[in-house]
Amino acid sequence: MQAVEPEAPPQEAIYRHGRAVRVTHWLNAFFIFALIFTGFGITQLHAPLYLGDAGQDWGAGIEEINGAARDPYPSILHVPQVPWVDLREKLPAMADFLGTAEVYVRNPTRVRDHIFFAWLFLFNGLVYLAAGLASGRFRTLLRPSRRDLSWRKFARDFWDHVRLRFHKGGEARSYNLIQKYTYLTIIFVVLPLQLLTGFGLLPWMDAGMPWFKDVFGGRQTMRTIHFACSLVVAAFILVHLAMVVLSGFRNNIRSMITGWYRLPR
Amino acid sequence: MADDTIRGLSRRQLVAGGGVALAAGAGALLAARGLSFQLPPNIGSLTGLAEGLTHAGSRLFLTHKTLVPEYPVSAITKVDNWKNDAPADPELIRHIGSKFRDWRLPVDGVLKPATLSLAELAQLPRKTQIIARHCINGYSSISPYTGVPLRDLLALVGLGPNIRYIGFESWYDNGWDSIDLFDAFHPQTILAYDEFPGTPVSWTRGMPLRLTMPLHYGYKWIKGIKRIVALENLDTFGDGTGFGSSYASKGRTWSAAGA
Repeated sequence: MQAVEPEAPPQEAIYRHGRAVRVTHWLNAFFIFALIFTGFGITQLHAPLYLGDAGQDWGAGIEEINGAARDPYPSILHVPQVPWVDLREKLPAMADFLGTAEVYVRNPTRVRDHIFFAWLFLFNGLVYLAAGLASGRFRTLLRPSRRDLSWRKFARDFWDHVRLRFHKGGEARSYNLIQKYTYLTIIFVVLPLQLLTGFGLLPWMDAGMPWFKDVFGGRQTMRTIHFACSLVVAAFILVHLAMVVLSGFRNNIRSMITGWYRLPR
Repeated sequence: MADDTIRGLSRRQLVAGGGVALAAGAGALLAARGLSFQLPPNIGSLTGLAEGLTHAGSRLFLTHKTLVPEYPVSAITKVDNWKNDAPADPELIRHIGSKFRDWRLPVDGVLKPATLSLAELAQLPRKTQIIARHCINGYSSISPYTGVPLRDLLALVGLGPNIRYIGFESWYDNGWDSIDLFDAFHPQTILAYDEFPGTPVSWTRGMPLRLTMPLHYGYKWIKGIKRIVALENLDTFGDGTGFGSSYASKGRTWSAAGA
């Protein structure tokens, strides 16, 4: 027996995400997760980051071998290392699991896997870009409109976004300005930079295109930029996921599965 | 849907057509190069496919004229401290003690098989190069190596028409590895016996002979070479698994041009 409810006025829905965008989005989510996982594993093989073409910071041990010779390529930063030994001592019940995890994460094989997923990420990204251009998605959904190009509008959208006041009704047909700028930056600046700096790290690139590493300031500088980009991507994903939850979880997930987005009232 | 077509072609047709055109163009470019290169032996597996894609892709950009930069002495990095296991083989210990003076390198599978002492190798054309070596783990070192370009050694002993690979056996962990002829004939692929001329390659760096492989990650710079053999295929080389490299059993790839 179902109670008879007064019929709600029909909520307007728009077809926001085409099929190609939906498919490439979920594939991309998986590929980027795999890239971050394998990429993190690679940082655990050698933690120091450098500027220039080379770098070989072995810590204090090298002084015993080499004397206190001046290193032309000092490290600028160390990626934090998972304290596997401490963890195993503090969590003896999980020692077996942690041992297996360490062997799996800190493993040169992750480089092969990383490049494997980078290929998939590249092909998937090209399909997304082609579909986005063909369908006019970039023009209609991502490009700021002419009246968007004012500081007042930017400031208003920014504060609305920070206070989690999301657009409603007709205003919600398009992304708000902060979303537009964020997506544009990630899609057209950060991810391409990540891909290019990763491509340049292939060892034969020194011969294939010797100028390529110099554009970024040297091979190890390129590696450092590649790592910095991954932090930006990780930060984006955290905020993205938080916003998906806060701005109407079911509606957002539904729209990325079926394509239909219900305009919030 | 009208949105899905451009000049009467569906999106699917465009993507498929673009893919075929790209593959055909890449194939034609590789064929035009006319350089002998092999796809990785484990191309059949999923990750092997990615390795093959990276490896073949690299060949689109490479010829024997594409060289890695050579650095000045001031750019040399600190000494490698990659620890090799202390040698246990008494014969090896004796050779290290005598700096391999009374040892000879067998070169087999070639038209004129030979055994060469280090002194004889030093009589061959010599090249000193200071180039970078990129480790798969992420660091890069720049160090000097002096030796005979492999192409000059191979020209001396002669290769049969069906040879596709050059195999190397190593004193280090009794390992083995192989390279294709594209890499073997690259002018910066040298069989190094010295660091700077007169300073033999140290045990850490790969005594008595180390291959420099400028297009590959450091693990392909085969250390401690004790035998060279020209091969038509990799089927029976090493442990006979056909992978062509003892690294394959450690989860690494035959081609270190990408992974």
